[in-house]
Amino acid sequence: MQQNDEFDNEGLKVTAELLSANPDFYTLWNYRRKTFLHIKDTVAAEELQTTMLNELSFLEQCLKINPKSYGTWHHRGWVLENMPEPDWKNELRLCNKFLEFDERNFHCWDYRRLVVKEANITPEEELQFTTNKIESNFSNYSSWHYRSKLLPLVYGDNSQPTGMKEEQLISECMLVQNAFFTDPSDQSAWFYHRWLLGRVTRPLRLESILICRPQGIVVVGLSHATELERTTKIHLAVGETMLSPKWRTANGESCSTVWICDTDVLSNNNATMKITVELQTSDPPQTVELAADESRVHWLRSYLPGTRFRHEISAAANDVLTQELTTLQQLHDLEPENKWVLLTVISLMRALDPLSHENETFDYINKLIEVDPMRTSYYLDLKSKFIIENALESRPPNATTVDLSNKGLTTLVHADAMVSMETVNLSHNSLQCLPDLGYLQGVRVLNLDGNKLSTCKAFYCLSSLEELSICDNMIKHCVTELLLLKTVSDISTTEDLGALKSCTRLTRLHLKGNPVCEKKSDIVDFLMSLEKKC
Amino acid sequence: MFRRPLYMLDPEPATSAAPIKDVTIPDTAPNTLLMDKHISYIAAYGDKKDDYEYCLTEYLRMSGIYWGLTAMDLMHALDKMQRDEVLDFVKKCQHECGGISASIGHDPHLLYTLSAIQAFLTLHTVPPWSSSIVLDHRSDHYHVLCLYDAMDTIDVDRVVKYTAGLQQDDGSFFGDKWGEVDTRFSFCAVACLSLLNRLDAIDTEKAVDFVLSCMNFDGGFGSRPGSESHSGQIYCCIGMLSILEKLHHVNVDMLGWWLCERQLPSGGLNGRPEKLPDVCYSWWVLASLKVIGKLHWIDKKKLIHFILASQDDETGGIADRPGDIVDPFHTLFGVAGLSLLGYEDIKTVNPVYCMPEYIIRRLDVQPQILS
Ligand SMILES: [Zn+2]
Repeated sequence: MQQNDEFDNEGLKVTAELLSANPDFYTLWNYRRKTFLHIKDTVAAEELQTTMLNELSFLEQCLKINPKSYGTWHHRGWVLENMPEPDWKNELRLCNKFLEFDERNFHCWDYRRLVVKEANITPEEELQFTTNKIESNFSNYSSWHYRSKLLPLVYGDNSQPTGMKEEQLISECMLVQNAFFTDPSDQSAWFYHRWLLGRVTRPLRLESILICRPQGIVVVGLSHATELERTTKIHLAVGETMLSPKWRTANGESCSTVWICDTDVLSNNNATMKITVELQTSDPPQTVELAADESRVHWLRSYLPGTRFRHEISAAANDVLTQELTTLQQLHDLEPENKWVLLTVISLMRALDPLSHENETFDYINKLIEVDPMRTSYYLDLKSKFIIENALESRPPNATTVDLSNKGLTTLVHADAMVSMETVNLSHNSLQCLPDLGYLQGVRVLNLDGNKLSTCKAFYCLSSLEELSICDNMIKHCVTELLLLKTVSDISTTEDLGALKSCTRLTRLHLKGNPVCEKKSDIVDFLMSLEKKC
Repeated sequence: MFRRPLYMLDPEPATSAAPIKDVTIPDTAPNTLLMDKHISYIAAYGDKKDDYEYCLTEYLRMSGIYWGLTAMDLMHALDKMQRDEVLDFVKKCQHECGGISASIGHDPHLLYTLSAIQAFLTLHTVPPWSSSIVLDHRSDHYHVLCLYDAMDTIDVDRVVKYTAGLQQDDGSFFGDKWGEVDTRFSFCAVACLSLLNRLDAIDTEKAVDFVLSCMNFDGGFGSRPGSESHSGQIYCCIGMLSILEKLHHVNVDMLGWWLCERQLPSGGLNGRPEKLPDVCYSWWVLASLKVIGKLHWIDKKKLIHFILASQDDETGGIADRPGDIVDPFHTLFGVAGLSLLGYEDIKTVNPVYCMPEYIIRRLDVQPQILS
């Protein structure tokens, strides 16, 4: 596009003027780059170096006027990469200067990461930089964030559950404590603290197996959501015979913690069967025996009480957590209204011993709602989660019933940990919507009376469900909702009720006390008659 | 290594605590939706072509058009926009390479390519102009029809080729040929191709891997691996994962908590910790929360109050925060935010595409939404 040097210079001058006023005018940066590429082809290296150095000082002026322009920072990186002798160390000094001016400028932080790579700055040096930044001002989310990236590089230790050397973890805890004792209302340190104590990354393994003979299904619960075939395979054997079944999820999603396979071998046979499930990982296989004439059997991984859900909170050793809890409780005494302290105390208690701390935890949640009413729904959901977890923690290993009625639940979580349950009672809570209940493949009786449900979308393909009670909810269009459970092609006017076939064993449906019952359409009559039948 | 702060020895509350950055909403601020005023504001915006402000924003004109069209559609006033003029403009902005620029004579870029696709699908899917198209909501052919209709405006195959050509070996996307990488561009590429029903043109698995490599300790996402979480980037990454049905990679509890902590006492939301509230974040944060099924974790009433207070009751339009100067960008995201919050009289907006839900349905595009 450029014809001669005069043209280049004139163009550079005009675009420079425009860009210092409006650095987001991206086409003009492109124009300059094209010009420089042209110059690069026509002049000696020294001259190019001089031209590019001039560009860098122009860019520094631009950044002083507008330090938050994507275009300017990107162009600076481009110039460095295209000049004969880039001085990346000088760029680090520039970053220091700009971060001095605004320590949250993420454009500059991003540019710094490019510079660090090009200038071969070590993670140790950068970690020290964040330490200095944090010590001069604890309230610096950007620095804490950067630390979360650097710490594992410098002090990583994969033999530790936290992925980090323990003495470093403890000294890091001290740094965060310094921060939140200095300004307990600053969220940066609290988010970092939550990360620091870390979650456990568990290996993929079997959590539960459910065999239902009449339905001919094998249901396998995994430790985390997995895309089968892409990441692993589940092998299934009946006796000595390897089957090669197709695995599906209850709701058709490509990734799930619960996988189902349909097999005739089960339903065509009433003999004793040994069924072996094995993951294509190092996890040992599990064998369950389905006795003759038995219709179902399940296996559940066993946990020490209080440890079933701990991996979601912390991987740190108990003495570290106990020390943290003591310190946090001191801070709580000083700052009884501080929500971050309350929330952290709750997490620590849950990581240490969720069952014995249950009442205290709930008191703290109530306090949280009082001091931070804007996030009431979040805290109520958190409380529901704890209630469900505690109920699942304390159930006997062979229990097939879970009673979560009258608990004030606002959300249902961990349905995938209820695969083997036969009776689930969720009545008289405050549930407004449900997650997909497809995990509940073993449930025969499901009670949701007295909630605030307005749709039936969640009841999809519950293959064992015999009795569903959803009295006293807000279901207005139960019929259409249930119809939606089937694919459109299955709906014909006379056989609308066939929609319920998605739950093929459902014979009792209790609907009293829903707005839908006031509409006396034929279909509703039929649904009611289903109810009367039993 | 670090000395214990004095605070441990002295039970006085810390005095060094920085006050929360926030705004106060004046009592005189508007508290109802001034829909008619916003409609006139947007309708008039395109007429002031000689205005200094209009010229100054030429470099993002295409996005401006999409913001205006979408805001108007959500407010039931799309018929007040100049359909033919817009389509002609979009056509003139497509380049030989297939990419679309912000304005005539500007360079092509993914940001404006997506805006252009959003604008032309809005104009081609919607009554009153699409009466020539059979509006059978269930028809699988609708998508095809609507694209064929648009063919005379944009060369779709070239758009696809341009977009796919910007994908890199690590799965990331350049914004244009000059090599800037950003998860915003991953969203632009995936959103654009999904609207054109051409996701097969890129390596979606690698695209997902790249976005996941930008995930952070707080559950959020940044622009590149190592970058700090920012609500705008989170929206892009969540949206992209939603379109590709990979939301199971997201730590919903952690991210949902971080996002609902963006709400400040004024009711407004900020984009990251310790920043001022801004109406456009009512969109980035809210839409992300909606997609991960946690919209109820913020205080809806207070946020509605904040957005309404950011209206200009004289000129119409919505600003970034109460008392500031309005612009079409914040007007759209204010209106779209109100739509997600269930504000009456506004059409339902799709949280992933920020386009009216009925258009997304007719295109038969189904991004994943968690419940
Ligand atoms: Zn804004």
